[in-house]
Amino acid sequence: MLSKLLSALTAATCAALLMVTCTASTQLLPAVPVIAVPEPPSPPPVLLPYDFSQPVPQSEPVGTEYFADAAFVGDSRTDGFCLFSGVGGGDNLTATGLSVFTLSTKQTIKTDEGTLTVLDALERKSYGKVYLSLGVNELGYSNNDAFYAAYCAAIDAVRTRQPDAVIYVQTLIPLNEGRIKASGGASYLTNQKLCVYNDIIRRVAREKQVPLLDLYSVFAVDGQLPEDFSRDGVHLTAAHYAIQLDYFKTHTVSLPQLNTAIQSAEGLI
Amino acid sequence: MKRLLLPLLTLVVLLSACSPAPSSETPGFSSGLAEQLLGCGAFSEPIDPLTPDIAWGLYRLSAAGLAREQMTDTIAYHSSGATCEELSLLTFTDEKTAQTAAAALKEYVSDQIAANRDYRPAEVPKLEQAYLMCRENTVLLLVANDYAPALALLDP
Repeated sequence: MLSKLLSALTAATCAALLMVTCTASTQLLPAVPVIAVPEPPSPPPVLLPYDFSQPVPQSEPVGTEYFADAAFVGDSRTDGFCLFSGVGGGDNLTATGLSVFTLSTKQTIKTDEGTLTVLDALERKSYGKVYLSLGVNELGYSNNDAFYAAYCAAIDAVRTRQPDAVIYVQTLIPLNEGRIKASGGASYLTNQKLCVYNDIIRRVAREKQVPLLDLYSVFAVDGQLPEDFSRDGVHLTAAHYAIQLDYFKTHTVSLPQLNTAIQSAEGLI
Repeated sequence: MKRLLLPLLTLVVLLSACSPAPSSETPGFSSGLAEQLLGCGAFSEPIDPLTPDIAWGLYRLSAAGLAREQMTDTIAYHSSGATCEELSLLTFTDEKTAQTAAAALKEYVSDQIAANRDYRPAEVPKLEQAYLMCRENTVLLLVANDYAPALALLDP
């Protein structure tokens, strides 16, 4: 009983003291402008040991200047991103119909040195980031092992040409199968197969230790791309590419962070 | 007959690009015309605006030897991926620059045909019939689903 009383008394005394202190501060101290003190930079959003099959954690948003030294490698969906997202920078190294199987053979990138493959075009300058998105044009292939092997080889090829770049791979944005059917799209364009490929892409990310951007989860609603996000069920409408850009801006990894993640994944730290 | 007609039409359209016309009879393409073309029913889907810098890069006008400041006005609309349809009205500092740009756009259309022949063959006829013309210091490129209403505006 006594201890309860003392405890209540102590709490009341503390509260009273706090009130007196606050009141005294308000009355005695001159008004000074409140100066916002910038918070120290956030620590690297790397959970150790890092699991590369999981998407890059959300981070503080970067500005579009972040993409100035980026290369966007992919098919017509990535081309749409470059044209309509408002990214405002980076090199568009895309080709209509490009696949992991044709990355080193399809000569479509026009340069001053002639028309080059995407891989040859990648060699022309040094990039800080390479955003790789491939897989939709491969959905008709039945050999998943070949897709996995080709995707791994594609990352090796990019890494050889850009050893100092952060290579991001992306899960595939879902399809809207109703729109595809209505527009006479190919019957092999299904979300069921797309999800199989996304699982393979996650496996590739883990195997090759590259950061994964999970665009599927950003866009999928009940396993489909919402109908009003696309006119043909495959390509986003212009306004919706901004969603992709916002995700890119808030899911970034620096090269030191990546190296730390690789070391942790290999059990070195 | 159709097989013969299509390549012939394509050839006529492409060859007519950049042919200087008497300015008193055919003034440059106007922004009002571009607006009319957008709404005339020539496109199978809504097409979306490109920024001038994106249009500049898309048509590889630097590689054609032009300087960015030579393109003084841009109205450019492009499909976001569902089709190859597009409309661009580019205005340049002078007629000669416009002709150089038109040559670059002609190459762009040829590249689009090559890129889509296997991938989206249904889009190829639209590209083969592309309307590409320069008048004075302007260049107009139209890739449409239905050219009839557009041509009615362009060549009334």
